[in-house]
Amino acid sequence: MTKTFKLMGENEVQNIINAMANEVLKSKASLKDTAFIGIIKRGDVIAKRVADIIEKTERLKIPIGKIDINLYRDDLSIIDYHPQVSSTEIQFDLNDKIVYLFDDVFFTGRTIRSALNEIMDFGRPKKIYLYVLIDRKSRELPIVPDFSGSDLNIPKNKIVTVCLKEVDGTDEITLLKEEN
Amino acid sequence: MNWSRRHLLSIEELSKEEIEHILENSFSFKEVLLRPIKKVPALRGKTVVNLFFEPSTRTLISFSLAEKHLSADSVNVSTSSSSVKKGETLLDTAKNIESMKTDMVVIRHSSAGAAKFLAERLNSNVINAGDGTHEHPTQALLDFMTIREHYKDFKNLKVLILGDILHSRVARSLMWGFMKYKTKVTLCAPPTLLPLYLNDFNVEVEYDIDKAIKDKDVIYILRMQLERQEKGLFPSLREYIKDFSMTYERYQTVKDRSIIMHPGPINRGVELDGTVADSGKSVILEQVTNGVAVRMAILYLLNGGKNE
Amino acid sequence: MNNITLKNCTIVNFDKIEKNKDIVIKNGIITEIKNHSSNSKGIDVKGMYVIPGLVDMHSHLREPGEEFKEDVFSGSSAALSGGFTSIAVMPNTNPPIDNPQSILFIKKRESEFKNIELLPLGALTKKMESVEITEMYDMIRAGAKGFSDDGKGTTNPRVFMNALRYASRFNCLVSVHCEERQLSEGGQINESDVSIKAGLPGIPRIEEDIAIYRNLRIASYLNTSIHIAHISTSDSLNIIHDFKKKKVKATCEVTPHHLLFDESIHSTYDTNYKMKPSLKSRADVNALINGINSGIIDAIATDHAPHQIYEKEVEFIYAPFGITGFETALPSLYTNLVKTNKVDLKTIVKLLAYNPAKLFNIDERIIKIGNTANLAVFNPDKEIVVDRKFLKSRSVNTPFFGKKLFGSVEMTIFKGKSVFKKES
Repeated sequence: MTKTFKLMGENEVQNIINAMANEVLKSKASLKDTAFIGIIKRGDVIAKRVADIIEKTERLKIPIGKIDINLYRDDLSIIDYHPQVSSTEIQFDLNDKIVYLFDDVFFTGRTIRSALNEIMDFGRPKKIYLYVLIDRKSRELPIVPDFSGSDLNIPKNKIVTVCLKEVDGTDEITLLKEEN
Repeated sequence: MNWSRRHLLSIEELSKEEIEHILENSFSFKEVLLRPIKKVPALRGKTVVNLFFEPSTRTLISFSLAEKHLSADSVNVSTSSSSVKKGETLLDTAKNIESMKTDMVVIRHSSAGAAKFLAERLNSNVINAGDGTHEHPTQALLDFMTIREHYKDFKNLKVLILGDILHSRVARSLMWGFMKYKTKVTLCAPPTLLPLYLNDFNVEVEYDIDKAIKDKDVIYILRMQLERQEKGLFPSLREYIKDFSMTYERYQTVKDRSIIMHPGPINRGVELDGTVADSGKSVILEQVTNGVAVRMAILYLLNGGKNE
Repeated sequence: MNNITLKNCTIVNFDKIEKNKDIVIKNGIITEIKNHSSNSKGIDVKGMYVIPGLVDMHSHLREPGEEFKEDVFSGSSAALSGGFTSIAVMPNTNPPIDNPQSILFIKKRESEFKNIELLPLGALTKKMESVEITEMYDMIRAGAKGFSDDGKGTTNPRVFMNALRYASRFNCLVSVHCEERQLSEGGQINESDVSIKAGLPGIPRIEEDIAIYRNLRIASYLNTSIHIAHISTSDSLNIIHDFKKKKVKATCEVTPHHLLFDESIHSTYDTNYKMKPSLKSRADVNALINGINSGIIDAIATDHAPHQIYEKEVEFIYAPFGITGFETALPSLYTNLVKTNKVDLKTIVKLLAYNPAKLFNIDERIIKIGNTANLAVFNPDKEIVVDRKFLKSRSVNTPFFGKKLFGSVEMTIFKGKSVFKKES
């Protein structure tokens, strides 16, 4: 039997996203040189929401890109089926940009490693920040988020699922637990 | 869906869902082709052998580029079937190459069933790049991708395949594919270049090209092999052009929105007029671009496929 | 001389089946057939069929020239293990058997092997090129039992007419491979929806019946007898039937594979189904089965055509035509036709033994007192696996390879001598 535990609801998720926007604005960096990149398929939604908040308050449109990291995964030769690939869209020059990279859950750091390699193939950003909703504190690589909405110490075999309205119809973060 | 196939041997064996899955991935790979660095590490460390027993420029380059874009290491073996026939058998050639620890084999061969033959005997993933007059699945898939860029729904399309259908593996792959989408397909060719038996394909035959091209959304023109004349299958190029070529005059009668396709290489002035090939309705070069994307998608998917 | 007694036999002749018989063989002759008595000594074959030694009207032993595929010894061993005690040997070797010396060579090899009767057929035309007729008088004197240009057919009708007329004087079998080559040239399998889908060059089925019609007309014009080899279509059958009704001296044969397989198998591209004539539709198969039941078809012949695995294990279009058949003929027919009640076992015996023997004018294949003891003991309940060990031929190019069949030839007796015994 699997059981789902709700970790966060709509308000908590939106609060984190608001905090992300504040944090971006706090940084001294010029917003004009800033670009957002979200990792498909929820990081790009988060990037869009943060950008919308900034657009409202600062009247400034930050360019948003999205990347599919599947082709850069380090486990392609060992996983059972090759996952469906989505299109990466980075329709702006990345050179000398300050890039904020968004993802839903930070887990082992391997996805971020893939994303960083892929971004580097598009150009040479000046700096890259990593923003995530949740940090599961189980990193396997020397990579840490610059911002995480919540730190959760969850055993590796448990599954944390992030749902966002734009993709899943609802905002919530849940924990799947095996129960006997 | 979970892609579990290890080989791509024919369109006949694919389900509609599998074709859709390949197409979806192909569009993503097309994006890779537009990047400043057109190379992703997906097949890093994999070795692909392009085993071409029939002359081919376009398909071989297309596969080679697809392999390079995916960071696979590839080797091209181009040789004529006849020289292989005299010496080493196909199986020996393939097994020897595989003993050098290769992961995937792309095969083009003049015998129908050659790709299936290898797939049943090798551990490598096998991709059929054209086997005799049987099938040419990657060509049909790149064609479907190109059609999809112009028409969302295949079901209500009217498709014409024009030319030497009897000897065309492309036509067979297209007919199988369109059958899965319940697309209306018309064939147009002199009777001697049409199969005598078409009961298992859901197609219509129209011998009058002027009637055939009128209401079609997709006009697919096949390459005319000139040696068919020597075999007595048509009397002269002159008469063929008169009655079965997409001339400039005929082009004027084609529907505005229709697209004109050709698997290449074109015989300008034979199966289609030289200017029609470069006209607004021609999507022949889009087909070529999509060929690389489709082949990337197939290499990527098959490499992830597992034996059930 | 060996004396053998078989006890508890179920004797299957072309016309009747008798149970609980004891057969006594002395000096190569069946001397006694009596009701089984418990105190008789001999080999107990309870539950098994004792059938006349089979006669294959059509086989290729590949010697001389292609001994890597088969030779007289390996081919004869295979035949014996399949219950055959006489086999007709086709002349399309390399070089072809088109002269008396070559016939003598086959006869010499037969005498070296000792345990089987070979029925060598000489070529109708020199080098089987359909230009000049062969030295048939000399070949008959050397031991030829008939003539054929098998594998090619005599393409030139004038030459064929002369050859048939020349041969008519010997009252021997003239077996004719009927194929209109200008239609079949370049083809791989029967032209049909199957060939179109497989993308394999098709052979229009009419190539066979056109050639059969031509050759039957020539025979009827000359008023000579003619034997049509390996027919594969209902059209051929109908044409032969028509000629037979007109009292033309025509006979014909069919192979086991044309009675069992249809062309749908070609979607697998398995080259062990690539043969000439090609496999046809299921309707043809059913027509041919009716043809053996109705008596229009006179014989079942294996067309045993050995090829090495490495020759067959190639691209379909490069694979040679033909499959082996000696070892599997009886078990495959028994499994698929007799056990399924499509054909009576007596009919199989008639077409695999009685009729061919009559056509070759050799020892009568009836198990009766006074006849030469050419016999096979067949256990219908025993399952066999067609594997390398089971097959005695040098080649294993049979579609049954790796498969199981019912019915096992346990023993073959040639001229009263046990020449094959199944190892248990």
